[in-house]
Amino acid sequence: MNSAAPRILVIDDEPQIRRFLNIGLRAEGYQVLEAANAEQGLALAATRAPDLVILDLGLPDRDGHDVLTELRQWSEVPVLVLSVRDGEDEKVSALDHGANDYVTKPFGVPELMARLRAMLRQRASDVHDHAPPIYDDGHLRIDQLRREVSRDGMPVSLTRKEYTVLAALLQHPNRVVTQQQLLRQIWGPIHVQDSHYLRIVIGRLRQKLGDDPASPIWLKTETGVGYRFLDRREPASRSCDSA
Amino acid sequence: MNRPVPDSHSVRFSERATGLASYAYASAVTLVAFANAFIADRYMAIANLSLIFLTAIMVVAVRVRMRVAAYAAILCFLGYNFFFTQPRYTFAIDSADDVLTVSLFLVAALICSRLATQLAEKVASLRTARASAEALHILGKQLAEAGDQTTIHRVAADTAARLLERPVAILVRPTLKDPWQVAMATPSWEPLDAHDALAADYCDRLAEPTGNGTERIPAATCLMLPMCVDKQRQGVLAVACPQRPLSPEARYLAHAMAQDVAQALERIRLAEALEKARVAGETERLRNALLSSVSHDLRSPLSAMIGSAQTLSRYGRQLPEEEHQQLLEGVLEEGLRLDRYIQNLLDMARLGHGELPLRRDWVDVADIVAAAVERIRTLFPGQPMDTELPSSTLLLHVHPALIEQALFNVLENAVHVSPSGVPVHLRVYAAGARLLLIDVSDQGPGIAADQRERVFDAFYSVARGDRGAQGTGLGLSICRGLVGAHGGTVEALAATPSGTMMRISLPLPALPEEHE
Repeated sequence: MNSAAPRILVIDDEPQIRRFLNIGLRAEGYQVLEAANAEQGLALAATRAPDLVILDLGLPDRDGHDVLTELRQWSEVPVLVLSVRDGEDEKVSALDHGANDYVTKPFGVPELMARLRAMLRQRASDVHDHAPPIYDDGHLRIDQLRREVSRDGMPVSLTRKEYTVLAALLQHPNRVVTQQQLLRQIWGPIHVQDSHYLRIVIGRLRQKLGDDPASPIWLKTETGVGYRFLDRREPASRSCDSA
Repeated sequence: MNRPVPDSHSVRFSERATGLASYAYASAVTLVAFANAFIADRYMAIANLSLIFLTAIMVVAVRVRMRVAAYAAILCFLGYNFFFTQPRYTFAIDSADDVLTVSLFLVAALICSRLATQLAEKVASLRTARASAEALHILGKQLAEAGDQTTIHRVAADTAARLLERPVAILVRPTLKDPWQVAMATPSWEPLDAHDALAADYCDRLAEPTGNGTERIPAATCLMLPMCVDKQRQGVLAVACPQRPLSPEARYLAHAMAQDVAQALERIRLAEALEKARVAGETERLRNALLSSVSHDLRSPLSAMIGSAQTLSRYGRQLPEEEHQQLLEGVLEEGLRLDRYIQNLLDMARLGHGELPLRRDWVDVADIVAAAVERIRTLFPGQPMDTELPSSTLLLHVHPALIEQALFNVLENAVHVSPSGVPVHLRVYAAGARLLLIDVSDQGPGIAADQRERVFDAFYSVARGDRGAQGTGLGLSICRGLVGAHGGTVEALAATPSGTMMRISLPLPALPEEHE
């Protein structure tokens, strides 16, 4: 971690939520900026250059999606969105508008902190290299140059579709890739609604990789939203690969 | 104009000969009788000739009206008198015997013609009645099978058009001020002209047949028949009569049909009103259940949270670290419990509206199970779970969050009744090609067989009130509602060796073709 503590901007209109986030984030060693509405939030994002933004979608003055769209016009800062349960459409829309991840309200503090860490790490590795060519966590090895996958040393034979889906998820480790994004990218725009294609491919992938669907090691489903590739490498080995 | 194709079901009305044609027929038969009489005259007594004439009169009478039959009788009487009685070729009669014969002949001829026409009329009317009854029977049978207004309209128009062999339309108007609209027509229908519209208006207002063939607005091209039962106006049955009016019998039949159709429509209307009232009553009961649930399920965690927080804020400093932590954990637990209750209430409120919007998507059942189990693990870290998933990918076409919530509620209930440390068993498998079963078994005390259905009753759960303090409140009834909305079922069964097995059954849809 850098000597200068990462700066995190919290945009939420609930003072109680800002308060406990402030306390918790400072306890984790971050600097905290607070905004109670969209206007303030955008102003702070522009002037104070935060390393990460926590954005509540239900703001009093403007719709959270608008804020995201505007922010994305001039900033690449990672954004974590807070949304209510059952709002799958809202989550998907936020991710499509450029959010990097989301947490469902009411959220647990440990989960939130873990997501923040992953996002900041991702940002650091993005600076070095966009996609490391070889992923290896000791069990699963994915060689993106040779398009080869092996599990515990045994080669795993994947179809072209299966490999493409795995590679697309690996592009954004620990981040949600929406199912619409995957379907559009891999099957084409006319198949965006044909989610059963994707479900079957993911099912086969899990079977071939020996991933347990009940408590997945690598391929985690975000119900109604998409999938996440869980990066199981030790933090140290990450930097090795990307170097 | 297209005419409906007549088939074996169409009703034929025997039309009786009328007008000049029938007089000509009577004259012709009389002429034949005279020819026969001239031949017979050579061999038989005059008195016996009357039998030939009587036969002729009967032959005529069964085919024609009384007036024409009488005309034939008088024609025979005059001819008999003129040609055969002495002196011949005059209307004078010599012998008293012949006067008697001829007079009696006239009386007998008139009586015979009257009897014969009456008999023929009776036979004809019986035949018509039977045809009408048969037609109404056919219509009634088809109406009984119709379940909604549009089907009734279609059946009515089709059947009436076929039986009457005329184009038929059902006319309706939403309110008295609106113009008439053709709701259904067989086979095709021209727009109403001014006469027809007026006739339809009168027909609806007076609840009487009007238009073509009746006394009101006879200039209309259609016969209008009211579909009206118990003053409930259901529209007008219009029968197009482009060339000639319907016979009175057909008109009568059409009127009866219109009334049958009105009755069927009224039946549907009442059934709908009844269903609406039932739903309203159910909603009312649900609202009451929700209110009492709010006061209980929401207030108890809230009071625990407020109490713990106040205790901490007031005595925090003097409390030992351990008690400090206990109070904090209490606030956290109760907060999570509150969140679950609110989720349940939201689901219940949505179910109560009866318009749960299902955003269906293809979803791997393993993903739903994983999400629900994950939530249970977070909530009850000490609870062992024993999960058995199918070996291959099974896809459901459901609203994922709702089915996850349904499964979560069942799991939560199972955890609540399980003795601590005893695993809850979860088994997911396909039963045949089209059905998915999710069995959740606990080893709790079980539910008496006669109570098993009642645990799904929202009102039962609420009635238990404070005794079910740690229960899920409405959880199981919500589960049933959510699964039911997807065409599935939830039932409580006995588990082996003890406890309860909740079984969720969901349809497994056929997959659309995949082309890689």
